[in-house]
Amino acid sequence: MSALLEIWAGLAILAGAIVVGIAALGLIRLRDPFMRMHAATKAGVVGSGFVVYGAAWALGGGGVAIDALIIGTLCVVFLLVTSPIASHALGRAAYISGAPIAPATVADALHGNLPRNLFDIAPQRMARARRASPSLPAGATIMSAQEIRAPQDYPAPQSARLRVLTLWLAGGAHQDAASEFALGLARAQNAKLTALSAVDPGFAERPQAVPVGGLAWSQWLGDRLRLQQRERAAKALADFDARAAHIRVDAAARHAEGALETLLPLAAGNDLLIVPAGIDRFGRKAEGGDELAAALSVNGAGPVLRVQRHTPVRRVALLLAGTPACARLAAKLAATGLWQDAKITVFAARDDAQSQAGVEAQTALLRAHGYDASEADPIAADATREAIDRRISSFDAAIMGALAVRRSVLDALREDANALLAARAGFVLLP
Amino acid sequence: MSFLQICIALAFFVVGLSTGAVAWRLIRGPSTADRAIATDMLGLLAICFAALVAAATGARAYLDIAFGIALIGFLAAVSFGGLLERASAPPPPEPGE
Repeated sequence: MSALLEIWAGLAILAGAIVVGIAALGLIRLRDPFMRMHAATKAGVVGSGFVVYGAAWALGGGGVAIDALIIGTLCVVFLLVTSPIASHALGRAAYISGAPIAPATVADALHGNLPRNLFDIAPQRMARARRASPSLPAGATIMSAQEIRAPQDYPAPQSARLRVLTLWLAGGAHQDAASEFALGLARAQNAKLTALSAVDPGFAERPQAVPVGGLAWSQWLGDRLRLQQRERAAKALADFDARAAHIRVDAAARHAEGALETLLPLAAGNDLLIVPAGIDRFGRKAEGGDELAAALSVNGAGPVLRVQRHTPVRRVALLLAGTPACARLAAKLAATGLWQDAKITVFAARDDAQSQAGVEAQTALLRAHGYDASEADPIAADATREAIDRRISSFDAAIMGALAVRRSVLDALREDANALLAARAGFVLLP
Repeated sequence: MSFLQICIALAFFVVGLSTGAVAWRLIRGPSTADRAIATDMLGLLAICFAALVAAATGARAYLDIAFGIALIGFLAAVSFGGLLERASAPPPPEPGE
Protein backbone atom coordinates (compact mmCIF):
# COMPACT_ATOMS: atom_id res chain seq x y z
CA MET A 1 0.00 0.00 0.00
CA SER A 2 2.69 2.44 1.02
CA ALA A 3 4.78 1.67 -2.10
CA LEU A 4 1.74 2.29 -4.27
CA LEU A 5 1.09 5.60 -2.49
CA GLU A 6 4.69 6.64 -2.97
CA ILE A 7 4.57 5.85 -6.68
CA TRP A 8 1.31 7.79 -6.99
CA ALA A 9 2.75 10.80 -5.16
CA GLY A 10 5.99 10.68 -7.14
CA LEU A 11 4.14 10.51 -10.47
CA ALA A 12 1.92 13.45 -9.50
CA ILE A 13 4.94 15.53 -8.51
CA LEU A 14 6.81 14.65 -11.68
CA ALA A 15 3.79 15.33 -13.92
CA GLY A 16 3.22 18.68 -12.21
CA ALA A 17 6.86 19.65 -12.62
CA ILE A 18 6.75 18.78 -16.32
CA VAL A 19 3.60 20.84 -16.86
CA VAL A 20 5.20 23.77 -15.03
CA GLY A 21 8.25 23.37 -17.24
CA ILE A 22 6.02 23.54 -20.33
CA ALA A 23 4.35 26.66 -18.96
CA ALA A 24 7.76 28.29 -18.47
CA LEU A 25 8.72 27.28 -22.01
CA GLY A 26 5.56 28.97 -23.23
CA LEU A 27 6.44 32.07 -21.24
CA ILE A 28 9.73 32.28 -23.11
CA ARG A 29 8.67 31.23 -26.56
CA LEU A 30 5.18 32.66 -27.13
CA ARG A 31 4.96 35.88 -29.02
CA ASP A 32 2.89 38.41 -27.15
CA PRO A 33 1.87 39.08 -23.52
CA PHE A 34 -1.60 37.64 -24.09
CA MET A 35 -0.30 34.27 -25.26
CA ARG A 36 2.25 34.29 -22.43
CA MET A 37 -0.47 35.01 -19.90
CA HIS A 38 -2.39 32.09 -21.32
CA ALA A 39 0.57 29.74 -20.81
CA ALA A 40 1.56 31.02 -17.39
CA THR A 41 -1.84 30.99 -15.74
CA LYS A 42 -3.45 27.88 -17.20
CA ALA A 43 -0.56 25.45 -17.46
CA GLY A 44 1.17 27.00 -14.45
CA VAL A 45 -1.83 26.46 -12.19
CA VAL A 46 -2.37 22.87 -13.31
CA GLY A 47 1.34 22.11 -12.86
CA SER A 48 1.74 23.63 -9.41
CA GLY A 49 -1.59 22.11 -8.33
CA PHE A 50 -0.29 18.66 -9.22
CA VAL A 51 2.98 19.28 -7.37
CA VAL A 52 1.17 20.45 -4.22
CA TYR A 53 -1.22 17.51 -4.33
CA GLY A 54 1.61 15.05 -4.87
CA ALA A 55 3.54 16.58 -1.98
CA ALA A 56 0.46 16.28 0.27
CA TRP A 57 0.20 12.57 -0.53
CA ALA A 58 3.94 12.07 -0.06
CA LEU A 59 3.87 13.66 3.42
CA GLY A 60 2.12 10.67 4.93
CA GLY A 61 5.40 8.75 5.10
CA GLY A 62 3.79 5.48 4.03
CA GLY A 63 0.33 6.27 5.40
CA VAL A 64 -2.20 9.00 4.64
CA ALA A 65 -1.69 12.31 6.47
CA ILE A 66 -5.19 13.78 6.70
CA ASP A 67 -4.16 17.29 7.74
CA ALA A 68 -1.57 17.55 4.94
CA LEU A 69 -4.19 16.34 2.45
CA ILE A 70 -6.69 18.93 3.66
CA ILE A 71 -4.15 21.74 3.35
CA GLY A 72 -3.07 20.49 -0.07
CA THR A 73 -6.63 20.21 -1.37
CA LEU A 74 -7.44 23.65 -0.01
CA CYS A 75 -4.39 25.06 -1.77
CA VAL A 76 -5.33 23.45 -5.11
CA VAL A 77 -8.95 24.58 -4.88
CA PHE A 78 -7.83 28.08 -4.00
CA LEU A 79 -5.49 28.15 -6.99
CA LEU A 80 -8.22 26.91 -9.33
CA VAL A 81 -10.68 29.52 -8.05
CA THR A 82 -8.37 32.52 -8.09
CA SER A 83 -6.28 31.94 -11.20
CA PRO A 84 -9.08 32.84 -13.66
CA ILE A 85 -9.56 36.14 -11.84
CA ALA A 86 -5.85 36.83 -11.71
CA SER A 87 -5.32 35.98 -15.37
CA HIS A 88 -8.32 38.07 -16.38
CA ALA A 89 -6.96 41.04 -14.44
CA LEU A 90 -3.51 40.63 -15.98
CA GLY A 91 -4.82 40.21 -19.53
CA ARG A 92 -7.12 43.18 -19.23
CA ALA A 93 -4.31 45.27 -17.82
CA ALA A 94 -2.02 44.14 -20.63
CA TYR A 95 -4.60 45.17 -23.24
CA ILE A 96 -5.32 48.53 -21.67
CA SER A 97 -1.66 49.32 -21.14
CA GLY A 98 -1.19 48.82 -24.87
CA ALA A 99 0.96 45.69 -24.86
CA PRO A 100 1.70 44.74 -28.48
CA ILE A 101 -0.42 42.10 -30.15
CA ALA A 102 1.49 39.58 -32.25
CA PRO A 103 0.96 39.98 -36.00
CA ALA A 104 -0.26 36.37 -36.28
CA THR A 105 -3.38 37.28 -34.32
CA VAL A 106 -6.37 37.23 -36.64
CA ALA A 107 -8.57 39.83 -35.03
CA ASP A 108 -8.58 42.22 -32.11
CA ALA A 109 -12.02 41.45 -30.73
CA LEU A 110 -11.67 43.97 -27.93
CA HIS A 111 -11.10 46.84 -30.32
CA GLY A 112 -13.50 49.61 -29.36
CA ASN A 113 -14.70 47.85 -26.22
CA LEU A 114 -11.79 48.69 -23.98
CA PRO A 115 -9.62 51.80 -24.01
CA ARG A 116 -6.11 51.14 -25.22
CA ASN A 117 -3.24 53.26 -24.00
CA LEU A 118 0.24 53.62 -25.34
CA PHE A 119 2.63 50.71 -25.17
CA ASP A 120 4.92 51.50 -22.32
CA ILE A 121 8.38 50.41 -23.41
CA ALA A 122 9.33 53.29 -25.66
CA PRO A 123 8.62 56.83 -24.44
CA GLN A 124 9.46 58.19 -27.89
CA ARG A 125 6.32 56.56 -29.20
CA MET A 126 4.45 59.51 -27.76
CA ALA A 127 6.12 61.77 -30.26
CA ARG A 128 5.70 59.37 -33.14
CA ALA A 129 1.99 58.92 -32.56
CA ARG A 130 1.44 62.64 -32.90
CA ARG A 131 1.52 62.70 -36.69
CA ALA A 132 -0.95 64.85 -38.58
CA SER A 133 -4.18 63.03 -39.17
CA PRO A 134 -5.35 63.43 -42.75
CA SER A 135 -8.94 62.60 -41.89
CA LEU A 136 -10.85 65.75 -41.15
CA PRO A 137 -14.53 66.33 -40.59
CA ALA A 138 -16.36 67.25 -43.75
CA GLY A 139 -16.32 70.93 -44.47
CA ALA A 140 -13.45 71.73 -42.16
CA THR A 141 -10.90 74.19 -43.42
CA ILE A 142 -7.61 72.42 -43.86
CA MET A 143 -4.20 73.92 -44.21
CA SER A 144 -2.54 71.67 -46.71
CA ALA A 145 0.27 72.51 -49.08
CA GLN A 146 -2.30 72.88 -51.83
CA GLU A 147 -4.22 75.58 -50.05
CA ILE A 148 -1.15 77.54 -49.16
CA ARG A 149 -0.19 77.61 -52.81
CA ALA A 150 -3.63 78.74 -54.02
CA PRO A 151 -5.79 80.26 -51.30
CA GLN A 152 -9.49 80.19 -51.90
CA ASP A 153 -10.32 83.71 -52.98
CA TYR A 154 -6.95 84.63 -54.30
CA PRO A 155 -7.18 84.98 -58.07
CA ALA A 156 -4.85 82.43 -59.57
CA PRO A 157 -2.62 83.73 -62.35
CA GLN A 158 -3.89 83.08 -65.81
CA SER A 159 -1.09 80.71 -66.61
CA ALA A 160 -1.84 78.42 -63.67
CA ARG A 161 0.34 75.38 -64.10
CA LEU A 162 0.26 71.94 -62.66
CA ARG A 163 3.71 71.10 -61.43
CA VAL A 164 3.20 67.98 -59.38
CA LEU A 165 0.73 65.33 -60.49
CA THR A 166 -0.08 62.06 -58.81
CA LEU A 167 -1.69 59.21 -60.67
CA TRP A 168 -3.39 56.63 -58.47
CA LEU A 169 -2.90 53.17 -59.96
CA ALA A 170 -5.98 51.41 -58.68
CA GLY A 171 -6.60 49.08 -61.59
CA GLY A 172 -10.03 48.50 -62.97
CA ALA A 173 -11.70 49.23 -66.28
CA HIS A 174 -10.85 52.93 -66.42
CA GLN A 175 -7.19 52.75 -65.38
CA ASP A 176 -5.97 52.85 -69.00
CA ALA A 177 -7.82 56.09 -69.68
CA ALA A 178 -6.49 57.59 -66.46
CA SER A 179 -2.89 56.60 -67.18
CA GLU A 180 -3.08 57.89 -70.73
CA PHE A 181 -4.60 61.18 -69.62
CA ALA A 182 -2.09 61.63 -66.80
CA LEU A 183 0.90 61.06 -69.06
CA GLY A 184 -0.51 63.41 -71.68
CA LEU A 185 -1.18 66.09 -69.09
CA ALA A 186 2.25 65.70 -67.51
CA ARG A 187 3.84 66.08 -70.93
CA ALA A 188 1.75 69.09 -71.88
CA GLN A 189 2.33 70.88 -68.58
CA ASN A 190 5.92 69.66 -68.18
CA ALA A 191 4.91 68.44 -64.74
CA LYS A 192 6.38 65.83 -62.47
CA LEU A 193 4.20 62.75 -62.47
CA THR A 194 4.23 60.24 -59.66
CA ALA A 195 2.35 57.00 -60.17
CA LEU A 196 1.24 55.58 -56.86
CA SER A 197 0.15 51.96 -56.83
CA ALA A 198 -1.38 51.92 -53.40
CA VAL A 199 -2.99 48.91 -51.80
CA ASP A 200 -5.40 49.36 -48.93
CA PRO A 201 -5.64 45.93 -47.30
CA GLY A 202 -8.74 47.16 -45.47
CA PHE A 203 -10.80 44.31 -44.18
CA ALA A 204 -8.31 41.89 -45.69
CA GLU A 205 -6.13 42.95 -42.81
CA ARG A 206 -8.78 42.28 -40.22
CA PRO A 207 -11.21 39.74 -41.61
CA GLN A 208 -14.58 39.18 -40.08
CA ALA A 209 -15.77 35.73 -39.16
CA VAL A 210 -17.78 34.04 -41.89
CA PRO A 211 -20.88 32.20 -40.62
CA VAL A 212 -19.77 28.80 -41.86
CA GLY A 213 -16.16 27.86 -41.27
CA GLY A 214 -15.44 30.91 -39.15
CA LEU A 215 -12.01 32.41 -39.02
CA ALA A 216 -10.27 29.86 -41.21
CA TRP A 217 -12.39 30.89 -44.16
CA SER A 218 -12.17 34.59 -43.49
CA GLN A 219 -8.40 34.36 -43.27
CA TRP A 220 -8.33 32.55 -46.59
CA LEU A 221 -10.62 35.16 -48.09
CA GLY A 222 -8.49 37.98 -46.72
CA ASP A 223 -5.31 36.46 -48.13
CA ARG A 224 -6.95 36.01 -51.52
CA LEU A 225 -8.24 39.56 -51.58
CA ARG A 226 -4.83 40.96 -50.71
CA LEU A 227 -3.23 38.79 -53.38
CA GLN A 228 -5.70 40.09 -55.95
CA GLN A 229 -5.06 43.67 -54.87
CA ARG A 230 -1.31 43.20 -55.23
CA GLU A 231 -1.66 41.53 -58.62
CA ARG A 232 -3.86 44.37 -59.83
CA ALA A 233 -1.39 46.97 -58.55
CA ALA A 234 1.52 45.13 -60.21
CA LYS A 235 -0.36 44.97 -63.50
CA ALA A 236 -1.27 48.67 -63.40
CA LEU A 237 2.33 49.51 -62.52
CA ALA A 238 3.75 47.44 -65.38
CA ASP A 239 1.22 49.00 -67.73
CA PHE A 240 2.17 52.49 -66.58
CA ASP A 241 5.87 51.74 -67.02
CA ALA A 242 5.26 50.51 -70.55
CA ARG A 243 3.32 53.66 -71.40
CA ALA A 244 5.79 56.02 -69.77
CA ALA A 245 8.81 54.38 -71.43
CA HIS A 246 8.26 55.94 -74.83
CA ILE A 247 6.94 59.33 -73.71
CA ARG A 248 9.41 61.89 -72.45
CA VAL A 249 7.95 62.82 -69.08
CA ASP A 250 9.35 63.21 -65.61
CA ALA A 251 7.61 60.14 -64.22
CA ALA A 252 8.30 58.04 -61.18
CA ALA A 253 6.39 55.09 -59.80
CA ARG A 254 6.11 53.82 -56.29
CA HIS A 255 4.18 51.20 -54.41
CA ALA A 256 2.76 51.56 -50.93
CA GLU A 257 0.47 49.58 -48.69
CA GLY A 258 -1.63 50.66 -45.78
CA ALA A 259 -4.94 52.19 -44.86
CA LEU A 260 -6.06 55.03 -47.10
CA GLU A 261 -5.55 57.55 -44.32
CA THR A 262 -1.90 56.60 -43.96
CA LEU A 263 -1.34 56.63 -47.72
CA LEU A 264 -2.64 60.18 -48.13
CA PRO A 265 0.56 61.92 -46.96
CA LEU A 266 2.32 60.25 -49.92
CA ALA A 267 0.09 62.26 -52.23
CA ALA A 268 0.34 65.46 -50.20
CA GLY A 269 1.46 68.65 -51.86
CA ASN A 270 0.41 67.61 -55.33
CA ASP A 271 -1.53 69.89 -57.63
CA LEU A 272 -3.85 67.25 -58.99
CA LEU A 273 -4.63 63.70 -58.02
CA ILE A 274 -5.74 61.62 -61.00
CA VAL A 275 -7.88 58.66 -60.05
CA PRO A 276 -9.60 56.09 -62.27
CA ALA A 277 -13.37 55.90 -61.98
CA GLY A 278 -15.56 53.05 -60.93
CA ILE A 279 -13.30 51.54 -58.29
CA ASP A 280 -13.20 51.77 -54.51
CA ARG A 281 -10.34 51.97 -52.06
CA PHE A 282 -10.05 48.18 -51.85
CA GLY A 283 -9.94 47.78 -55.65
CA ARG A 284 -13.48 46.49 -56.00
CA LYS A 285 -16.10 47.82 -58.40
CA ALA A 286 -18.01 50.72 -56.88
CA GLU A 287 -19.95 53.79 -57.78
CA GLY A 288 -21.11 57.02 -56.22
CA GLY A 289 -19.89 57.90 -52.78
CA ASP A 290 -18.08 54.57 -52.33
CA GLU A 291 -15.57 55.34 -55.02
CA LEU A 292 -11.90 55.87 -54.36
CA ALA A 293 -12.12 59.37 -55.82
CA ALA A 294 -14.88 60.30 -53.38
CA ALA A 295 -12.97 58.79 -50.44
CA LEU A 296 -9.84 60.71 -51.36
CA SER A 297 -11.76 63.94 -51.81
CA VAL A 298 -13.54 63.58 -48.48
CA ASN A 299 -10.24 62.92 -46.73
CA GLY A 300 -8.81 66.19 -47.99
CA ALA A 301 -6.34 64.91 -50.57
CA GLY A 302 -6.56 68.10 -52.61
CA PRO A 303 -8.24 68.37 -55.99
CA VAL A 304 -9.13 64.95 -57.34
CA LEU A 305 -9.72 64.35 -61.03
CA ARG A 306 -11.72 61.20 -61.62
CA VAL A 307 -11.14 59.85 -65.11
CA GLN A 308 -13.68 57.62 -66.76
CA ARG A 309 -13.02 58.20 -70.48
CA HIS A 310 -10.16 60.04 -72.11
CA THR A 311 -11.95 62.34 -74.51
CA PRO A 312 -11.29 65.90 -75.63
CA VAL A 313 -13.16 68.29 -73.34
CA ARG A 314 -15.37 70.87 -75.04
CA ARG A 315 -18.27 71.36 -72.65
CA VAL A 316 -17.95 71.35 -68.87
CA ALA A 317 -20.75 71.33 -66.31
CA LEU A 318 -20.28 73.03 -62.97
CA LEU A 319 -22.96 71.57 -60.74
CA LEU A 320 -23.85 73.13 -57.40
CA ALA A 321 -25.60 70.72 -55.06
CA GLY A 322 -25.55 72.67 -51.82
CA THR A 323 -22.67 70.85 -50.13
CA PRO A 324 -20.08 72.99 -48.34
CA ALA A 325 -17.46 72.11 -50.96
CA CYS A 326 -19.56 73.64 -53.73
CA ALA A 327 -18.49 77.19 -52.92
CA ARG A 328 -14.91 76.33 -53.84
CA LEU A 329 -15.58 74.72 -57.20
CA ALA A 330 -14.75 77.63 -59.49
CA ALA A 331 -11.69 78.64 -57.46
CA LYS A 332 -10.38 75.08 -57.62
CA LEU A 333 -10.87 74.87 -61.35
CA ALA A 334 -9.02 78.14 -61.78
CA ALA A 335 -6.22 76.88 -59.52
CA THR A 336 -5.70 73.77 -61.61
CA GLY A 337 -5.96 75.69 -64.86
CA LEU A 338 -7.66 72.79 -66.61
CA TRP A 339 -10.04 73.11 -69.56
CA GLN A 340 -9.25 76.73 -70.38
CA ASP A 341 -10.73 76.46 -73.87
CA ALA A 342 -13.88 74.63 -72.88
CA LYS A 343 -17.33 76.14 -72.59
CA ILE A 344 -18.46 75.97 -68.97
CA THR A 345 -22.10 75.82 -67.95
CA VAL A 346 -22.94 76.60 -64.32
CA PHE A 347 -26.19 75.32 -62.87
CA ALA A 348 -27.65 74.17 -59.58
CA ALA A 349 -29.12 70.83 -58.66
CA ARG A 350 -31.97 72.44 -56.73
CA ASP A 351 -34.16 75.37 -57.39
CA ASP A 352 -33.86 77.91 -54.57
CA ALA A 353 -32.55 81.43 -54.05
CA GLN A 354 -29.40 80.33 -52.26
CA SER A 355 -28.36 78.04 -55.08
CA GLN A 356 -29.10 80.76 -57.61
CA ALA A 357 -26.85 83.19 -55.75
CA GLY A 358 -24.13 80.52 -55.74
CA VAL A 359 -24.52 80.03 -59.48
CA GLU A 360 -24.11 83.74 -60.09
CA ALA A 361 -21.05 83.99 -57.84
CA GLN A 362 -19.36 81.00 -59.44
CA THR A 363 -20.04 82.25 -62.94
CA ALA A 364 -18.62 85.67 -62.09
CA LEU A 365 -15.51 84.10 -60.60
CA LEU A 366 -14.96 81.92 -63.66
CA ARG A 367 -15.38 84.89 -65.98
CA ALA A 368 -12.86 86.84 -63.89
CA HIS A 369 -10.39 84.02 -64.51
CA GLY A 370 -11.00 84.24 -68.24
CA TYR A 371 -13.21 81.20 -68.65
CA ASP A 372 -16.08 81.09 -71.09
CA ALA A 373 -18.79 80.55 -68.46
CA SER A 374 -22.55 80.80 -68.72
CA GLU A 375 -25.44 80.25 -66.32
CA ALA A 376 -28.20 77.74 -66.90
CA ASP A 377 -31.53 76.98 -65.27
CA PRO A 378 -31.49 74.82 -62.14
CA ILE A 379 -32.73 71.27 -62.31
CA ALA A 380 -36.39 71.14 -61.35
CA ALA A 381 -37.30 69.17 -58.25
CA ASP A 382 -39.60 66.83 -60.16
CA ALA A 383 -37.24 66.22 -63.08
CA THR A 384 -37.23 62.62 -64.25
CA ARG A 385 -34.11 60.60 -64.83
CA GLU A 386 -34.55 60.86 -68.60
CA ALA A 387 -34.93 64.65 -68.47
CA ILE A 388 -31.75 65.07 -66.44
CA ASP A 389 -29.92 62.60 -68.67
CA ARG A 390 -30.96 64.53 -71.76
CA ARG A 391 -29.75 67.70 -70.20
CA ILE A 392 -26.33 66.48 -69.12
CA SER A 393 -25.56 64.14 -71.99
CA SER A 394 -23.59 66.76 -73.91
CA PHE A 395 -21.04 67.43 -71.18
CA ASP A 396 -17.57 65.88 -71.46
CA ALA A 397 -16.47 66.86 -67.98
CA ALA A 398 -18.00 67.98 -64.71
CA ILE A 399 -16.98 69.89 -61.62
CA MET A 400 -18.92 69.08 -58.49
CA GLY A 401 -18.68 68.85 -54.76
CA ALA A 402 -19.44 65.14 -54.36
CA LEU A 403 -19.96 62.13 -56.56
CA ALA A 404 -23.35 61.44 -55.04
CA VAL A 405 -25.57 63.50 -52.82
CA ARG A 406 -28.02 61.70 -50.58
CA ARG A 407 -28.43 63.39 -47.29
CA SER A 408 -32.03 63.22 -46.22
CA VAL A 409 -35.11 61.14 -46.76
CA LEU A 410 -36.39 63.86 -49.05
CA ASP A 411 -33.41 63.34 -51.35
CA ALA A 412 -34.52 59.79 -52.02
CA LEU A 413 -37.60 61.13 -53.80
CA ARG A 414 -35.67 63.05 -56.42
CA GLU A 415 -33.08 61.95 -58.90
CA ASP A 416 -29.49 62.50 -57.84
CA ALA A 417 -28.13 64.78 -60.54
CA ASN A 418 -24.59 64.44 -59.19
CA ALA A 419 -24.60 60.66 -59.55
CA LEU A 420 -26.12 60.81 -63.02
CA LEU A 421 -23.57 63.38 -64.16
CA ALA A 422 -20.72 61.38 -62.64
CA ALA A 423 -21.86 58.32 -64.55
CA ARG A 424 -21.95 60.24 -67.83
CA ALA A 425 -18.97 62.59 -67.76
CA GLY A 426 -15.52 61.46 -68.88
CA PHE A 427 -13.82 63.60 -66.24
CA VAL A 428 -15.04 64.75 -62.85
CA LEU A 429 -13.10 67.32 -60.84
CA LEU A 430 -13.69 67.13 -57.10
CA PRO A 431 -12.25 69.96 -55.00
CA MET B 1 17.00 6.18 -3.11
CA SER B 2 13.32 5.48 -3.48
CA PHE B 3 11.18 6.21 -6.51
CA LEU B 4 9.61 9.15 -4.68
CA GLN B 5 12.97 10.73 -3.98
CA ILE B 6 14.04 10.38 -7.62
CA CYS B 7 10.78 12.00 -8.70
CA ILE B 8 11.27 14.87 -6.26
CA ALA B 9 14.85 15.40 -7.44
CA LEU B 10 13.75 15.46 -11.07
CA ALA B 11 10.91 17.84 -10.20
CA PHE B 12 13.37 20.15 -8.41
CA PHE B 13 15.53 20.15 -11.52
CA VAL B 14 12.63 20.95 -13.88
CA VAL B 15 11.14 23.62 -11.63
CA GLY B 16 14.59 25.17 -11.21
CA LEU B 17 15.03 25.38 -14.96
CA SER B 18 11.56 26.92 -15.25
CA THR B 19 12.49 29.52 -12.66
CA GLY B 20 15.48 30.48 -14.76
CA ALA B 21 13.26 30.81 -17.83
CA VAL B 22 10.67 32.91 -16.01
CA ALA B 23 13.39 35.10 -14.54
CA TRP B 24 14.72 35.68 -18.04
CA ARG B 25 11.28 36.81 -19.15
CA LEU B 26 11.01 39.02 -16.05
CA ILE B 27 14.28 40.78 -16.91
CA ARG B 28 13.76 40.84 -20.66
CA GLY B 29 10.21 42.21 -20.68
CA PRO B 30 9.65 43.80 -23.11
CA SER B 31 6.47 45.34 -21.71
CA THR B 32 5.39 45.85 -18.12
CA ALA B 33 2.55 43.41 -18.76
CA ASP B 34 5.11 40.70 -19.56
CA ARG B 35 6.88 41.40 -16.28
CA ALA B 36 3.63 41.25 -14.33
CA ILE B 37 2.80 37.90 -15.91
CA ALA B 38 6.30 36.60 -15.16
CA THR B 39 5.88 37.70 -11.52
CA ASP B 40 2.61 35.81 -11.33
CA MET B 41 4.32 32.73 -12.74
CA LEU B 42 7.18 33.11 -10.23
CA GLY B 43 4.58 32.89 -7.47
CA LEU B 44 3.34 29.60 -8.90
CA LEU B 45 6.93 28.32 -9.05
CA ALA B 46 7.44 29.35 -5.42
CA ILE B 47 4.37 27.25 -4.53
CA CYS B 48 5.98 24.33 -6.35
CA PHE B 49 9.25 24.83 -4.48
CA ALA B 50 7.51 24.99 -1.11
CA ALA B 51 5.53 21.83 -1.88
CA LEU B 52 8.66 20.02 -3.08
CA VAL B 53 10.58 21.00 0.05
CA ALA B 54 7.66 19.72 2.12
CA ALA B 55 7.75 16.40 0.25
CA ALA B 56 11.53 16.12 0.44
CA THR B 57 11.98 16.96 4.13
CA GLY B 58 8.63 15.85 5.52
CA ALA B 59 8.09 19.25 7.14
CA ARG B 60 4.36 19.88 6.94
CA ALA B 61 4.69 23.60 7.60
CA TYR B 62 5.97 24.02 4.07
CA LEU B 63 2.53 23.09 2.71
CA ASP B 64 1.09 25.97 4.75
CA ILE B 65 3.77 28.19 3.22
CA ALA B 66 2.65 27.06 -0.24
CA PHE B 67 -0.91 28.01 0.64
CA GLY B 68 0.23 31.41 1.89
CA ILE B 69 2.19 32.07 -1.28
CA ALA B 70 -0.86 31.13 -3.37
CA LEU B 71 -2.90 33.72 -1.45
CA ILE B 72 -0.31 36.45 -1.82
CA GLY B 73 0.27 35.60 -5.47
CA PHE B 74 -3.37 36.12 -6.26
CA LEU B 75 -3.50 39.47 -4.50
CA ALA B 76 -0.26 40.50 -6.23
CA ALA B 77 -1.62 39.61 -9.67
CA VAL B 78 -4.85 41.54 -9.17
CA SER B 79 -3.11 44.61 -7.77
CA PHE B 80 -0.48 44.50 -10.51
CA GLY B 81 -3.31 44.48 -13.02
CA GLY B 82 -4.95 47.50 -11.43
CA LEU B 83 -1.65 49.34 -11.29
CA LEU B 84 -0.93 48.65 -14.96
CA GLU B 85 -4.32 49.96 -15.98
CA ARG B 86 -3.91 53.15 -14.04
CA ALA B 87 -0.25 53.82 -14.73
CA SER B 88 -0.22 53.53 -18.52
CA ALA B 89 -0.32 56.80 -20.42
CA PRO B 90 -3.41 57.58 -22.47
CA PRO B 91 -2.74 58.15 -26.17
CA PRO B 92 -2.32 61.77 -27.22
CA PRO B 93 -5.47 63.26 -28.74
CA GLU B 94 -5.57 63.23 -32.53
CA PRO B 95 -5.10 66.70 -33.93
CA GLY B 96 -8.05 68.00 -35.83
CA GLU B 97 -10.64 66.46 -33.58
